[in-house]
Amino acid sequence: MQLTDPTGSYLYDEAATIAMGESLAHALRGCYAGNAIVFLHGQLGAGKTTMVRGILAELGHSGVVKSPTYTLLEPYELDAINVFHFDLYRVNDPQELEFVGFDEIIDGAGIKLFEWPERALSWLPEPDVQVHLEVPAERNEVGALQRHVTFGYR
Amino acid sequence: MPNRVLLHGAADSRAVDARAIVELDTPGFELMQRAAQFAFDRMLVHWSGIKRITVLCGKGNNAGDAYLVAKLAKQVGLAVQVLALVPPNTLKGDALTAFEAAVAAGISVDATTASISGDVVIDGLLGTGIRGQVEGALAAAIASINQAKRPVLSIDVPSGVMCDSGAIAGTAVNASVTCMFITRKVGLYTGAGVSFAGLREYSDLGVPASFLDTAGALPLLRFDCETLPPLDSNTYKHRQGHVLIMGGDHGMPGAVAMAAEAALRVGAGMVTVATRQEHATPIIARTPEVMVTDVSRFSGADETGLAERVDLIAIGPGLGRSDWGEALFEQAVGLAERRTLPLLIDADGLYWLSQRAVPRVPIFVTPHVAEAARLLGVEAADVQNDRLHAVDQLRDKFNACGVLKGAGSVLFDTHGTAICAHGNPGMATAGMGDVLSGMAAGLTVQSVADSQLLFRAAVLLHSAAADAAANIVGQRSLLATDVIAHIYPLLRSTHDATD
Repeated sequence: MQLTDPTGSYLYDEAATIAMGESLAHALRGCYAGNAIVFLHGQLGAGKTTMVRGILAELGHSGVVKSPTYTLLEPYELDAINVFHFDLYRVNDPQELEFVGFDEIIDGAGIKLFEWPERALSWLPEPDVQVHLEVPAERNEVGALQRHVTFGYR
Repeated sequence: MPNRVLLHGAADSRAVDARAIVELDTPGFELMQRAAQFAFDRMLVHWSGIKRITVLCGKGNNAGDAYLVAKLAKQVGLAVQVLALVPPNTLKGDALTAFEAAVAAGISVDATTASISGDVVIDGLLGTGIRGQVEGALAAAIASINQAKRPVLSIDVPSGVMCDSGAIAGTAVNASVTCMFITRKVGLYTGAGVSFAGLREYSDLGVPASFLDTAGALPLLRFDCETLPPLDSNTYKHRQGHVLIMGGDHGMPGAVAMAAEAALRVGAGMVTVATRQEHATPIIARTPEVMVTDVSRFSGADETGLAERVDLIAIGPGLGRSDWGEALFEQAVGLAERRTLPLLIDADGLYWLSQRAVPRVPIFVTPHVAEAARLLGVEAADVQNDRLHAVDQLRDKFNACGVLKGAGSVLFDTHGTAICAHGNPGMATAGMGDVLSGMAAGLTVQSVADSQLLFRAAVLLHSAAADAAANIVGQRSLLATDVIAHIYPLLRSTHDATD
């Protein structure tokens, strides 16, 4: 899938990443009617889970957001919308996904967020939205690592 | 490119909407409010003085826009009847918020089975997300809009028109005006969607044009004389290209005569018509610049001599389906293959093309829907219901460039697909295709390097000239030769000024 925006934008701090997640939630609800596959690309510490926190907050989740690195999946039943937060970092064999009822979730309604989708690409459907988070090699003038984000939409 | 107009299908429209919401940090409800304001304003411009409106709402974002139009109308004191296809308590997200805003403004809601009382109807039943055929209560609601015989303003897409293709999903709202938001929907620019859309209005809702540059966007093209390669001051007629037009069986001399004149009028250096002997005098009497050769003696030495001199062969106008037509078609293909000349094939030439192997030369085709269907071995409805897919198949099967004619002509070549912005229903008249063949041959022959660009320009110029002619003679009276007469004002370039 082609990125529609090769330039993207900078995320000045954690709050900006959360705000971007909130905007993304608006689009997932408004344009994709709450049914969407989202890939979140980016190295460790790029801000993927932070963005998921923003998405979940906007969709009505008020509790903590646990990173599903060990559980693979953290489901959320929110106001009239289901969100499934996957973290495939520890997936060695995509067959492990069968144990979390993967097929049913993919075919069912809801927003499915995938961190580390590249670990099981052959098993995943085409995403509706892709988020690429990058961490710059060097700190900026105030000593911060300013994340850069680009999106692709289908 | 200035004022580049792009058209989008449903998926690309959704992607652009999503991008606007995420990257401009504009909530969907904000866009919905802007859309409703635009539609409401246009309604008052088109039908000033109305007292009551009827708003039909479906269940998606389209309905949300419509509820907000109802709210705006109520706020300025219009009588507003809102007919809802689904119980409003089943609405979700922004559409639900819009419904609640309408109720807060004093709107009450009836079912779509109620009879329409408004002077103007707002159609917010279906948007771009339509799947399958329209049936049941939805089909009944669309029928009641059409039977009400009131002016209709459709929101984004006339309900029932397929946004990707312009096909009708069983039935569709016959809109007077359609207000499109953020993206222009391609299905309103080609096929049946053109007539169902009525007058097309567009607002970007504040989304920057750069967001519209998606992978699947199709350009809507207008003729622009300045895109043509300028004439070299030192050119000569042999360099401007020599077109050979073959055809004109008994009773059809006019087809080749019009094609020949059109080819000269767009700047071909020379035009020879190979036709029946008895057609020579009338053709030359009308257009003395044309050369005519007798097709019965058009073989052996004569043929070889001519083949050495021409640069492009146009075959089809007045060709017919007799043995004579077939023999002439085979002769044209033989000539073209021997010298790798481009072939421009139209009319019954397309019939003969469908009966044989694809010639191994560059091919330009100008089929209407029925001719395209025969070339592809499918039904005409299959072509008309997905014109964009049909041109992909034509491109692949014949390795050809061309145009699929009919409302919203679809141009296709190796650069991709585009829609012609010009044209009018008066063009459905005898000889119109022959004039296009001549113009396309006459422009394409002028440069091998720019042949695709020139072919595109010819199609755009043809329909732009037809629009200019119709502005004077009217659509119903329009003749094919009127189009030839209206070419020159459009072809006068800023480069043409002389000292």
